[in-house]
Amino acid sequence: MASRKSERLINLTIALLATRRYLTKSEIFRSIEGYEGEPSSMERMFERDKDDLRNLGIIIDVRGVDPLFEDEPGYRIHPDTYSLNLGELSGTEIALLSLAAEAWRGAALDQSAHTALIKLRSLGIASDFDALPNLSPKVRVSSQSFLPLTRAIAERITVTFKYRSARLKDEVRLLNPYGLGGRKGNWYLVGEDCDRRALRTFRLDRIVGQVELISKPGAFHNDPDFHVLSFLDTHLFEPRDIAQLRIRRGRGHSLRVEANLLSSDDDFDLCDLPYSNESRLIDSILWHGDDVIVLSPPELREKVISHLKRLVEIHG
Amino acid sequence: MGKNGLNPALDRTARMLDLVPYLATHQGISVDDLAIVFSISPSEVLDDLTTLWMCGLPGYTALELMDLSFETGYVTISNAETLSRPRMLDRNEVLTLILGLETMLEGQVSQKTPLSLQIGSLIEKLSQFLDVARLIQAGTPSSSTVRGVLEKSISSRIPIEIDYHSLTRDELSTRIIHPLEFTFLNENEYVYAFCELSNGYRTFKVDRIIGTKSVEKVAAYRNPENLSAELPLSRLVVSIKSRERDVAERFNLSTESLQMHPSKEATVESFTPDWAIREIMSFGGEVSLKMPQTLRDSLRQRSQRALGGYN
Repeated sequence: MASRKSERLINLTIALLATRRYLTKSEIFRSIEGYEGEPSSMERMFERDKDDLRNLGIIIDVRGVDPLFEDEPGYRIHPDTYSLNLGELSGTEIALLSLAAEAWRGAALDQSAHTALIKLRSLGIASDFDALPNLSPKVRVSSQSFLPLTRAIAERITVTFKYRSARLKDEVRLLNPYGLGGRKGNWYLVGEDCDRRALRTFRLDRIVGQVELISKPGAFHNDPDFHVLSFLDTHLFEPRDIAQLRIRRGRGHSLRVEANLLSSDDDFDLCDLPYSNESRLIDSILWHGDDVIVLSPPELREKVISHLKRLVEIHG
Repeated sequence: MGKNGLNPALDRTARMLDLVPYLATHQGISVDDLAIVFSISPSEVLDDLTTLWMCGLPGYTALELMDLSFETGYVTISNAETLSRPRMLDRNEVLTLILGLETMLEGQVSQKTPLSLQIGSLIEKLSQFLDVARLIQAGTPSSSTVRGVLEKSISSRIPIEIDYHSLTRDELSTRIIHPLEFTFLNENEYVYAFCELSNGYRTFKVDRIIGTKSVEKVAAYRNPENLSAELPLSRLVVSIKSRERDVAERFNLSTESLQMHPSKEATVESFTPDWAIREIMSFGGEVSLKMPQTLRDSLRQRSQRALGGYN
């Protein structure tokens, strides 16, 4: 049964691809193998087959064949929309694309990466890995939410999920998802929180359980200028202030990565460090103990001192 | 449901449509190799080929049908021009390629190298097929060059020298390691290796490996014959006032156990007490160390020393 259905779908695809003019339904029923039975059941069969081919991403063009009688539509598949066309590709480019697909091994979309790889290899261009340095990219997405979210974003479908709050409560969120972006080793979901009526950002690894798609496609509009990485950079990572720190020589490497060295004495370096999130910076300064001392801004300095006093007190 | 969330008949149709162009460019491939490429069994391959053999242009005589031969265990195809170009990539396929390329780009030191430019133009080419290119972007920092060197070292079993930034001790060090495998923890990637410097098995965070060098004098590659001989594990009892999620994430505690525990006490396990003390200090009093007393004392002394820097 399944075999006959696949056979009919393939024959339909071949016929619609090969034809140079639009085929009418009666021509299809007459000539393509697999359409049989009452006219009404052939009609139903054909409707289902069209939906199935569309689900495979095949675009069927429909047009009235007779300009005088528009009720008789014709069908065909344009080879341009059916087949992969990336223009001229070199062996190095094929190698890069293969590596990009390989990067997904074991990650959320590895099934799609696998079929993409088969299609690329079917182009018949020998890949030239020798031209590449020793690259081995790895996409870090293990979240089961990734796949449903990409669909929800592409088709503008409202979603709901449980999110782990800072106090470890699982809160139900209702969201119109705008975008997904990776920054500093984490994936972030950005969208309009329907209950709070404001844009919110969520870390993917803090979503608990399944993301459910709960609306029809096209349920909301989003800003055509919305750009997920610029949004994340502006809202989460753009420096808001500069701290002046004394960092012990040979220490504080994770802070030094983003700091500017101003001057040095025997034991310490004086550095400027731009920062976006004060509480994260305080965490990091406390982590370094007596290897990092805050000079300014004064509020930051006071906060660190009071945290240290508290640490001494509760461990006394 | 099939692999792509499609029903099995559709899943199979998609596969057969992809089989034709693959065969057209890999004439004479064996049935077994095809099974590996398409991740199906050899008998499924034969079923697919038998079905395809019945397909072709209307008329369905020998003139119009595809010509497949596979009795010998090796497959050739002809008269299949209509389907011989690979199908268009679907949304998820384009997405995987773009995100994979973006990951490679981030691993590059400069955006101006010929390779970076080549990757950039491929991303641009693919983006025209993707309606959500500006909405879904990887941009994750990764060191794909370092990873490549490690992978090669694992497969060739030749040790390498690495420059490593230890977060635990906040030190830069150069050491020769014998990498054994990659592991993932909280979306972070680690490599498990024998370390000549510490003469034991250690775990290194891949993005903390700042540079790699090949070693000239090669020592025998170490195998994990005695993995049970591990470091002593310290158990620390902590009490948590707030920021439970951060605590769970940083100490890799199961959230369920924290959610269950009303007194908000938890046991943290660590191979390096020094690291655990630093982590507890970073919570600035929202987390306190209850046990053991010796580590409590050193945490207090360390806080006092830090406070001394502000006099």
